Amino acid sequence: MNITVIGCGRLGAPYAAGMASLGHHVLGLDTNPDTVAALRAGKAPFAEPGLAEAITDGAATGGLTFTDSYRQAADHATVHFLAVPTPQSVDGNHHDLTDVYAAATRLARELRRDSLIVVKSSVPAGTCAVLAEQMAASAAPGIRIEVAASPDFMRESCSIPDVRRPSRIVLGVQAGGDAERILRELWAPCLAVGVPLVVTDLVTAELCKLAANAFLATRVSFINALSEFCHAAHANITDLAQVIGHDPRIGSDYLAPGLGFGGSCLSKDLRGFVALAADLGIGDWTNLLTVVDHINQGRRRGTVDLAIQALNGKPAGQPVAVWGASFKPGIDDIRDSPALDVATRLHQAGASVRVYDPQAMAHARSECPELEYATDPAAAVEGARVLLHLTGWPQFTTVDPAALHPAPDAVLIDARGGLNHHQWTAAGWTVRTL
Amino acid sequence: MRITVIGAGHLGATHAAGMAEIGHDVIGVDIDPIKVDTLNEGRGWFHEPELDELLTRNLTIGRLRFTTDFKQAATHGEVHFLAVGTPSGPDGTYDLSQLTGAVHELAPHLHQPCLIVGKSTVTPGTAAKLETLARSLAPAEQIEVAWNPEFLREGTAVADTLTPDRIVVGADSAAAERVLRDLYVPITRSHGCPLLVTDRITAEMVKATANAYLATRISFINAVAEMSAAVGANISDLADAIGHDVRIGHQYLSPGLGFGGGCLPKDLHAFTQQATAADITPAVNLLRSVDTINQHMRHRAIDLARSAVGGTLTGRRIAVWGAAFKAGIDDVRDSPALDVATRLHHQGATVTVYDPQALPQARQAAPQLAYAQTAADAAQDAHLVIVATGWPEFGALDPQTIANRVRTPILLDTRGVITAPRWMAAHWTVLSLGYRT
Repeated sequence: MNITVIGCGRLGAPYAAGMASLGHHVLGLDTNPDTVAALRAGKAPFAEPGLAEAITDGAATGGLTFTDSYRQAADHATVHFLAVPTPQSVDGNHHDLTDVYAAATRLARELRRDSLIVVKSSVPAGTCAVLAEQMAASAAPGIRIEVAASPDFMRESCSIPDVRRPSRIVLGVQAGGDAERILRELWAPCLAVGVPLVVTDLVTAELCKLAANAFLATRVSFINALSEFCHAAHANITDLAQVIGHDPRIGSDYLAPGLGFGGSCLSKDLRGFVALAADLGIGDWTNLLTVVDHINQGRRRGTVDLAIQALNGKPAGQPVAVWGASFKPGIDDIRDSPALDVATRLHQAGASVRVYDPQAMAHARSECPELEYATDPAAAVEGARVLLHLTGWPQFTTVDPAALHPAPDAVLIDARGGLNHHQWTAAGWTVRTL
Repeated sequence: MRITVIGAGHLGATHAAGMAEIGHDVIGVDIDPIKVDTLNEGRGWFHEPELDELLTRNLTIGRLRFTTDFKQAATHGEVHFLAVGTPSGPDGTYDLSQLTGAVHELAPHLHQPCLIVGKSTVTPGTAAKLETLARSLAPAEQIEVAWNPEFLREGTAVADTLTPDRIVVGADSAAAERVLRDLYVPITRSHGCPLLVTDRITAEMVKATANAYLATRISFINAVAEMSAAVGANISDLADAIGHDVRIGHQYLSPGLGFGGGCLPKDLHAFTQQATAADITPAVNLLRSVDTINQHMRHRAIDLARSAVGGTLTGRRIAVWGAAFKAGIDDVRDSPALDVATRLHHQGATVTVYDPQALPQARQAAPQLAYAQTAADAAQDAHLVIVATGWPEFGALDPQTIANRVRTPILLDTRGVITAPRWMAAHWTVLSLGYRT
């Protein structure tokens, strides 16, 4: 089937490549000429395992092409996926929908045939209904535009497998439309292997994405709040999390205590949810999620405090090493990264902070030019009084602490776990955890 | 292995029968001779599926008996399980008096080295205190206390004992760990469930943590249900959609009247109390907001009921279907259903309650309410029917038959067990808590 994917960022590019790999003819549209040029050259515009290969494969079979022209997109298909970013607005906690409305309107003006628009971007409840009206107003007379909502649940670092075989597909439709019939056909390869499809109305589908992310954020903050309690009660939070995770009603994913969540989705959707609840006047609700956010922010502050404590309260001019800049291992994404946030705060407190990350250095450097960057983990630690382990890259666990050259009496703050504390202590480090 | 189980309540009686079933020689001990006699006749003194068969079988082959004699128990056991209750004290913390009481009864008779194993949910640090107490009272030299938290759910307690998801052992010595590993071999070998070993304090916290998490889940989805109702979304679809995420899951994700019962509220409150005492503000705030949402759902149900009957409850007849805190059991402890029924009564409504199993318990706990023997009888002349416990049989009732009994056909489903279109076809107005109808 011919489809377009409007917006080739972290959501759109993997979706376009994944759908092409399922046999569809996909045209990806992005208004940034650099992005389009990179994609046409078979390059992934950001680090994502398997993405470059999927783009190259798509180009080779002819199933995946890219453009910056809305006219071309309108001519290519009658099914258009809207995957432009909806960042947190600068003036508050709502999602910024500027790009979504702009893209929808530009597309609507070019449409010459009745078309289906499927919104994949995370949007607050009610957005698709407004979008449908705006598109209808912008489209040429006689052109019927149907809007469906299908929020995406792909995880960064496994987005291609998640597109090809998602945990579930959620589809919100307008009553009396054709969207379900068309999309069942489009998603047939997924449905055939047992992927559940939940068909509902537009507003419910919109709410699903925010609810899922708010729930995962709640899980992370739950275990982090518990870890502070365990510390006071002299219990072992790692054992506790593992034990309760064996309960099938609880499960063990997203139950690791540590520096908390970050990235573009969890924080943004959590706050978007709080903002929406506040708009609706549902106070009790907002409180739970506000607490979840506070707990998460508290982990970052707690880590900074531990580091300053290790420097006897005098961080000014002191050499500090930071391992990790991306918000989670496996990717180069630094949006709302807890690691970079902690590094920046220590820099602001006067410390001399040197960062190493296996993939996110370029993004980190452009976002935080005030920090120093090292070429490898050992170089970051050279002469440092404190080392903070802030992103759980597996390669950090294989570094031999005896081979490092920190300042005397150096302190390791393991905010992500996974380092062998006996080995580090044996090499002369003092080990602290949150 | 020779085992005693002290406490013949829901937990203790089931654990004693289960340990006998896997081949141990078990004596159950309780101070209440009536409970002991009933159990010795092969009958549970409470409702629990499959328990009577288990009791009878093991009593008959002589691997199980119950007694009030602590001396006999002390002489018998190599391992003594403490399975007495730890109810909420007045300040929300656990009342540990039954545990210390059991040790006071048992320890003076302990002349041989043995292992005492706590199963109850307790404040962290209790095992160490009980160990000190037992050692000060026992003539024997080597007495150790370990912790082995229970994970029984009422209604599936037998299966939860014989085929658990996991066994948790909190032990501070290799010897204690070995004894409990040996004791549970029949389960870990045949059923392949993991046996997780940790320290005693962590083991003491496991149950309360798991319950606090489940309470958080329920309040989370109830809060989303409120929001969902406000924007006109469908909470059933939403819960289904997010539950497909393996990191989320479907269980304990049904919106409704919230949690109740003997465990979740108690553990949540005790946890909040402990976190307050330890000055862990984030944990306190999180747990409090979970409780606030849970209480809010009961208020919300009452508000909906009031507006459904015309703005005032005084003199209105309301049928409440359900008294147990959840479907499938006869337990009314901190039951949201009975709480809502009682509050409606206090606000002037005439409330008639029906429950398939918990009527005697409800009658005792809330004697001021009226009770009926069938759902239809409860609905007689009612202005409003409220589904307050999720018994599946309520969903199977014939809307027309009930419509013929009521004064006004309005139904408030707080548990999502009613198929709204079927009732609406019989001219009912169907309201719900979060669910769109």
